[in-house]
Amino acid sequence: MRKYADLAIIGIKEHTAYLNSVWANFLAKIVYLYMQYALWTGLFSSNTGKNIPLSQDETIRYIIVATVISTFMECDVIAWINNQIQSGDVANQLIRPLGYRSMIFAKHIGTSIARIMIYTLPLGILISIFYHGELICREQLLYGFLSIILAYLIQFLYSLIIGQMAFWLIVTWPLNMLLAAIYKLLSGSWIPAAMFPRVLTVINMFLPFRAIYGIPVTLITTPMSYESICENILIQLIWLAVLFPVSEAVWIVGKNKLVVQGG
Amino acid sequence: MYLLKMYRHFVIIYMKGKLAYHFSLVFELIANTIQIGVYFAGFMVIFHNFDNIAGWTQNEVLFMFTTSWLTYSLSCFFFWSPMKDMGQLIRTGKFDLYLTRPIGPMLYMVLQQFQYTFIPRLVLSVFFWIYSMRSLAIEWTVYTVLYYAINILSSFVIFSAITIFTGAVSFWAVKSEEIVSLLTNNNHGLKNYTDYPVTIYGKGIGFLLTFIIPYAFTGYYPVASLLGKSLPHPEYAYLSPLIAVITGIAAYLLWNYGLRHYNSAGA
Repeated sequence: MRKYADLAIIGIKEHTAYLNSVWANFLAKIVYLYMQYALWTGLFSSNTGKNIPLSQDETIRYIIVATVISTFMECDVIAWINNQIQSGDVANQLIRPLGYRSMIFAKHIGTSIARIMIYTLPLGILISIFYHGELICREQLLYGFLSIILAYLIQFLYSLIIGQMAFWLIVTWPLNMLLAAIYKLLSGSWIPAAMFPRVLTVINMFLPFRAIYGIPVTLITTPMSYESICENILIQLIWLAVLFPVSEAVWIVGKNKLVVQGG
Repeated sequence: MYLLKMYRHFVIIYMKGKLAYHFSLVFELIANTIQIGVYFAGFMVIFHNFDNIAGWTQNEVLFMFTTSWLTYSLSCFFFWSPMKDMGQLIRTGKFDLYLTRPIGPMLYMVLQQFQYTFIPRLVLSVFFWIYSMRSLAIEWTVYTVLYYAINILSSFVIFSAITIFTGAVSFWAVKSEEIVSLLTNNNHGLKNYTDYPVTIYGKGIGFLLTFIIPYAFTGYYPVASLLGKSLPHPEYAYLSPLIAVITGIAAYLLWNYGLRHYNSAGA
């Protein structure tokens, strides 16, 4: 356990090594959030009286919380594994007396902790200064946290599966880029899932993406019945139950197929 | 003519190098197509529930931002990659190599590459540009065509000038990638602000996009005038060529100034 904690600390250190890019990334989040805010406010104020699935207030809360969550939900696991495969470093990682996936997870947690400290908290403070209203639904906060943790695990498993495919595909970034585009649209990190047209909602039901942003953000921002809360969390649990064996299978197959290149 | 011939040679060499990994090239093109396609899909989804934004219909907005994207992609064919890499080139000392060439470093950097990755963006922009234009009531007379053409040219110059600016910054701040990303990133760049009518961002950002980083002149002001939208300052609609000249000269001067004061950083 101690060793994994050390790995997590390495993750933190790596992430905070370049303070310049930290500032730029933080600024980028603000630029993005303001654009989203202005866009949706503009849309709602020019379409008063129209029947829209979410109210203006709900939408603004949604995009704020989604952006805040995105600051630590982002996951570099695919890039890490790709780099290790390309440089041949993966061999060094595999001979260590620690589980390969556990090491990656530990490092990922470290990175996320660093992200929470340098992006999430400052962004949260900034928002609390500029946004005066009830941002979160207090009664559901506990479920919200549970849902975020589940979303975090789903995000990790998903990245791990795609990343591990590099064990036999050598490069997965085109696949990753393709999925990232679909992810961006369907996860609800950009557009609230409730705004989707019917076709997309149906497609989305069969994909894990909305369990990463759509469900936790809605749980935090929108009051809903106890049944719906359970239903949403159940969906996340089902996706975890699906993705875990898949990642296990990809690992077993990938480990045998792995050809280490580089030297 | 001489330049064109040289460019042709360079592009052939560059593409030969890229085609050696033709799988990766095909994937890059596919991935880019999907990325841009999803952006357009998202745009449609956003407008799925709404009729208009700040008095602009979906197709009007689409026409505005494809106008700006068209010129942006064209500008990126030439300037994006060299300027994005400037920080890296200076850090590693590779930029010194360009100084020894018999043509100017800028010219050399622009000619020796070909950003085919912007082809999907260009093609999709043209597609949606035509798509949006069919439903717009713009009366295309000699005057409007000329007006539109001049503004497209200005927009090309403005985009290129801003890109050169971000590259020239690397002469002083060795890490300029962040600035490039802050301005042009597909997800969170400032350029994305120009995809929608500038009025929705309020006065402060409007000022920023008009006078400091003049993205608003690449699409919003000229197209607003063309569509007969009421602008708070109607005269801005005619300023794009002037802004293009100013930013163009400023970028040129800054680049040259940086070049003169450049002393190598690498080993």
